[in-house]
Amino acid sequence: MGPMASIEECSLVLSSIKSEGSEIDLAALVETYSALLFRVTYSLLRSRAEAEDVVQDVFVRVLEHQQSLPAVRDMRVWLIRIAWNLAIDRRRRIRPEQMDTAFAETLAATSISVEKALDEAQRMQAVLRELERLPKAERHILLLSSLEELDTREIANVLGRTESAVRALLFRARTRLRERLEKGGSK
Amino acid sequence: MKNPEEAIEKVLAGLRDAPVPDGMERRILRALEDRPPSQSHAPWRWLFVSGYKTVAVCGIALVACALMLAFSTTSMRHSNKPAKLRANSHPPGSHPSGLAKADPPSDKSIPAKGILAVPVQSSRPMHRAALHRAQVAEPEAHPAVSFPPPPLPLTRQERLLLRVVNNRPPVELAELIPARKAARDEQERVEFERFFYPPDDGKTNTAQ
Repeated sequence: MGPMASIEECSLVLSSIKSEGSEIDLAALVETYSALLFRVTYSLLRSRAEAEDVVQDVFVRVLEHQQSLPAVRDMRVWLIRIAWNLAIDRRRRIRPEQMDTAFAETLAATSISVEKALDEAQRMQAVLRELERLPKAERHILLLSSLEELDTREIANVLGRTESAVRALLFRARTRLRERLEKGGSK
Repeated sequence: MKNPEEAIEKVLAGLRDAPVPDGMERRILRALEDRPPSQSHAPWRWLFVSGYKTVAVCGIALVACALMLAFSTTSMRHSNKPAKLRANSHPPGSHPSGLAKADPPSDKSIPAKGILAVPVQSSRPMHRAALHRAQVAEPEAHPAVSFPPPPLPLTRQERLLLRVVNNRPPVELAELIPARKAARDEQERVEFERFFYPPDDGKTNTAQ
């Protein structure tokens, strides 16, 4: 079979992958959740290539466990949980220089002058540094809470914590990050 | 840093709104399509781990196979000895006292029961594990041989005889034995004659 020209053709091929007991359409899953999963993994990895790779791994896992898909109650949270855990594993393997160093510069507004844009980029860089210095649990909850699609209950399900713990950790993370930035950032 | 909350929100918003790479969905779908289907359920994937793990796994598997082979060989040797003894102890065509009927492997539908199977097994004790397996697999083929048969109930005549011997007077017992019965009859006859026919001395005295 030649290279696929469109998502529709891929969907037609992948629809035959469906197992007998499972009515899950993998192509529909990819179309529905790949963007969300990319943002989830990118917030942790800050590397577009690595994030896309992890998203692909997520759907490979789905393909491997398609027999158990009908038993999944909340598909979105389940996929995010897989993506998050895979991203944590991937994060242990990648080096800091592999992360997107230009991300802070892209956050600076383009309409301001070069000097101001440089200062803004340095500010963003400081925030990212302090974010990395946060305790792991607080950092993870802060990153997941930044995704507006996830409420507290879903974050708790993804991380395997209670909702009250998520709220407490989120409050502590923001407080700690703000205090550190007010003191002047990392030394 | 001035206004850190704003900077934090800006960074988090930047992470949240990261643009999805163009064509990511298509690449993912193509990768899933090109993925060999055998990898989805690959129970033997652990065989292809590289390095020392492969060596360790193969070593353990070889040792396990060797142990199983040795154990099964020992068990077969122990379990085959009685059969060989049985086959060699009697020349073909001469079946001593029905032992040929007790040869179990010829017909599995008839289990080897009874005492005929006992001397063959006791001539060479089976390996304990093999014996246990055989008993588990075929419990009726190895009955408990050392128990005596239960006593049969007494017949009516035997019960009457016991009652006579234990409870009745010797007169009735004598009725059962001809010699005693004859002796008894003779004794009664002598006593009868002594009573009705006294001795001659008395008769003579009366006549006088």
